[in-house]
Amino acid sequence: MSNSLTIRDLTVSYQAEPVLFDIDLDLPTGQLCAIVGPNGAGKSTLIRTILGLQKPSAGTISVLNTPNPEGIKNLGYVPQRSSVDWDFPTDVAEVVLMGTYRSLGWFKRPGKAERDRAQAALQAVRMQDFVHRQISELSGGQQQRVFLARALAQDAPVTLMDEPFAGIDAASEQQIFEVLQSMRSAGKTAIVVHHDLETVGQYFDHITLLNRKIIASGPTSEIFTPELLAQTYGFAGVLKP
Amino acid sequence: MSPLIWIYIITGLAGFTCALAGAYLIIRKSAMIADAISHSILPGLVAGFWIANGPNLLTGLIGALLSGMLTVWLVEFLTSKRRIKQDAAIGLVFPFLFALGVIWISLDFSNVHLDTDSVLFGEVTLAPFDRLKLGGTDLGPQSIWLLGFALIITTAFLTLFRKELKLATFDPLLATVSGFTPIALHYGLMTIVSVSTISAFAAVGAILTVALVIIPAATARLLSHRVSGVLRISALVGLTTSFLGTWLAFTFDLSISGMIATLLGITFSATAVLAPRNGILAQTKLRQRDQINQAIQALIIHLEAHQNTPEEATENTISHLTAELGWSNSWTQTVVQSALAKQAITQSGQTLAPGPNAQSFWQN
Amino acid sequence: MTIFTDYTLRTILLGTMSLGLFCAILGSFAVLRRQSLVGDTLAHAALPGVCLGFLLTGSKAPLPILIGAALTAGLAMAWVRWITTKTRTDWNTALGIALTSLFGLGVLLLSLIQRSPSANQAGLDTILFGQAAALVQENVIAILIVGIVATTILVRIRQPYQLLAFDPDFARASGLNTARIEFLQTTLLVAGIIIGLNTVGVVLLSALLVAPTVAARPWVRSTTQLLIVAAILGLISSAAGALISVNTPNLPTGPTVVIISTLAVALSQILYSLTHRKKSTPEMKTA
Repeated sequence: MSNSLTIRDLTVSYQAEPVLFDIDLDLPTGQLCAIVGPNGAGKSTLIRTILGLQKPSAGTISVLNTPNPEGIKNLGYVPQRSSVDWDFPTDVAEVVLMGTYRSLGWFKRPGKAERDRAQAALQAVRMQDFVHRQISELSGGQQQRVFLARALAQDAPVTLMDEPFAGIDAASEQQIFEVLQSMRSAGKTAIVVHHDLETVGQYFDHITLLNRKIIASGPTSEIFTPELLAQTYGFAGVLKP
Repeated sequence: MSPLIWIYIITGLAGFTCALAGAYLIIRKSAMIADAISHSILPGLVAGFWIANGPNLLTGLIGALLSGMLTVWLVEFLTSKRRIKQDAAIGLVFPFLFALGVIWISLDFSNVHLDTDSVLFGEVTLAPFDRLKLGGTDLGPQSIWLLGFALIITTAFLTLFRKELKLATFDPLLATVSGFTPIALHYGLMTIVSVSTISAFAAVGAILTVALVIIPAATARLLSHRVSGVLRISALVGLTTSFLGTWLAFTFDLSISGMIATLLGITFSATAVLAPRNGILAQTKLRQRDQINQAIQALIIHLEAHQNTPEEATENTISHLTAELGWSNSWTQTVVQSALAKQAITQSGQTLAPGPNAQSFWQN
Repeated sequence: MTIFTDYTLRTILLGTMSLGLFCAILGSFAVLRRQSLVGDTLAHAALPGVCLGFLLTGSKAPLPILIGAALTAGLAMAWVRWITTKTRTDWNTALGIALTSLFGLGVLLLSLIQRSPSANQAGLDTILFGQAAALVQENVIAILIVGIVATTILVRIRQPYQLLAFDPDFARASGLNTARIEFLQTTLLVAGIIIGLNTVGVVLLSALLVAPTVAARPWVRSTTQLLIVAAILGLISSAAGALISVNTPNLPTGPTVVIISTLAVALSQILYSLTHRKKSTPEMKTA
């Protein structure tokens, strides 16, 4: 089976200090993959680098065996909720429609086909009743689902998500997980930065433990062990999987 | 055509164009860059005149546009490369460039008519007499041509890049990943702002130009939740305030620029208070309604807890509520009256009980 | 320069230098709190106050004019706070609204003044660009008094002020009366602006408030150091600007001081880059 993401010898530095050291990573396709690690482990930097927003000092990245920058075209993306300007004058329908812009390229306007795609994506996250709601008037979970719908509308084979489960209620968390599962059934890959060790074992098929370098990466059953977690987080025996 | 009508056309065009160009600036929360641009085009204008050896329109405009863009670039450079906060960068760059312009004027042009006062205030009453002449033919006031040009390219830019601008402003990361270039759009937008500012500046002066760029869009922001709505309302506010201000200024024989800018400030504040959804009055009313509804919910919970219990007769009376729920007498009255009116509770004698509509209060 | 007597020269130099010194001190905390443009806003908003002071008293006596200026500048600040707390408008936009519409009001009043035939309004608009050459000894004394009082207050409230600038939430949680400090901060800025109106004028004043702090910033490790270094830089650049301008024909003092202050920032940045070379990967721009 081909890889959704292949990283070779990646080093990323801010100022003189490397944030990510010599990363080698292979993630499978059609699975839910988590990237887990403590604060400051470089998770967000890794995501930004994969998206081509941060220049690495060394290394190569390929998405579905297509090297970047060409490979970025295979990526969808869900931002961290805290990085969004929620006061921006836009409503749910418009945000989801933004997911279709890449397929349109410059100048072309979204038409019926794009609106249908956006509508289907909204239905998939069960937000179709909120089409004309201003985005700041949504709850945290609803906001997250809108951005998930936008990623669905992008219709990318691989979707990167930065902390989609952060700060939302249990019901929304369950719904988001269901959407992830349906993405998997459709043969798509989700690469998710996740912070909650309680749920990571239950939600994901594949786990990568990151703390500036790759501690371990593989199927959940092999990776989610107290020893490896302790190695990642620098403490022992606090959490049991 | 009489100069009077020209003045209306000029201020109206300036208001419409600047308000349109300013909308995205306000959405991006960088209003003060307009202030910086409007001041720092002065040295560019002077440089253009210096090159042409006199007040030449074309070289002056090119110089002004270049120094406007220099301002944008300098602010970008200082904030991204030198870690100076944006407000400090703006506060440094534009006084510097403006001072350069003032010095250049006093050294080289002290005898030419380039009055720094009118740079700030503008003298729109003179604008109709500044004609554009081509080979001896009078083509009408220069400002009309300038502003018309600015309006055309502003509209063209906003229409052509409608979706790109929206995405690049809302989510620059997704815009980059989607193959658009936010930084190019940023400079494109700043060019539009500069062109509109320069065209209006010649007629109405620096400060009114900035007012027209910032205030209509800020007002529109209070009224619309869509980019398209903000653009439309902003242009409309710019146009109507300019007309009204010009008319008032003529009626009372006062400065046109000053009148329009003052009127814009009043329009914004009035909108902030009266806006139908987000206005301060509407919000206060909404909060009061929420407070009463929450109180009714608390009341129903209390009544249900004690209903059909031995102490119902004492607990569920109006007089007891004040003590039990920690409410003031008048507040208890308000809540009970409102709850009775909405049939959320019923009253028999002194005793209250949950009413037929009690359940519906959990939905809202 | 023959047209300058020694007295005039000394007055210009003293006035400009003390202005540079006090503006640097009074502007420093505003810069730290990312409120560099507040000074600019307050300066513009002083114009209607100046006109009102003149309209009400019919004279150019400095006191009513300065009181008027202080009042409308303070009003501008209250308006900005009202806008940012009561509506979803951001700080920058609120400043722009207050700046332009109050200045517009000033222009409106100015046109009213110019219409009345009796009024001797000549010179009112010098506050736009200032006129250091017209400074008299009384102006210098006023600058010194206002400056010393304001600086004393600032030094006394330095610590809570610092806390508010650094961590406003913590300041509020630890029971600090933040409203009072905010009020004091505005008052101090207004004081700085009032003493600067005659010399550099409203448009260029913000440079004197902002530039010395930005120039000092890379080199200092504490707010006390910042205040001292900024004050020295403010003093030196205005002295240099004043000296250059009085020795060059047709060179206005205010703009020259602004140019020198800004060049000081550039020099500071370049020197800092040369002495603190770092290997760095520039972050890609996204906005």
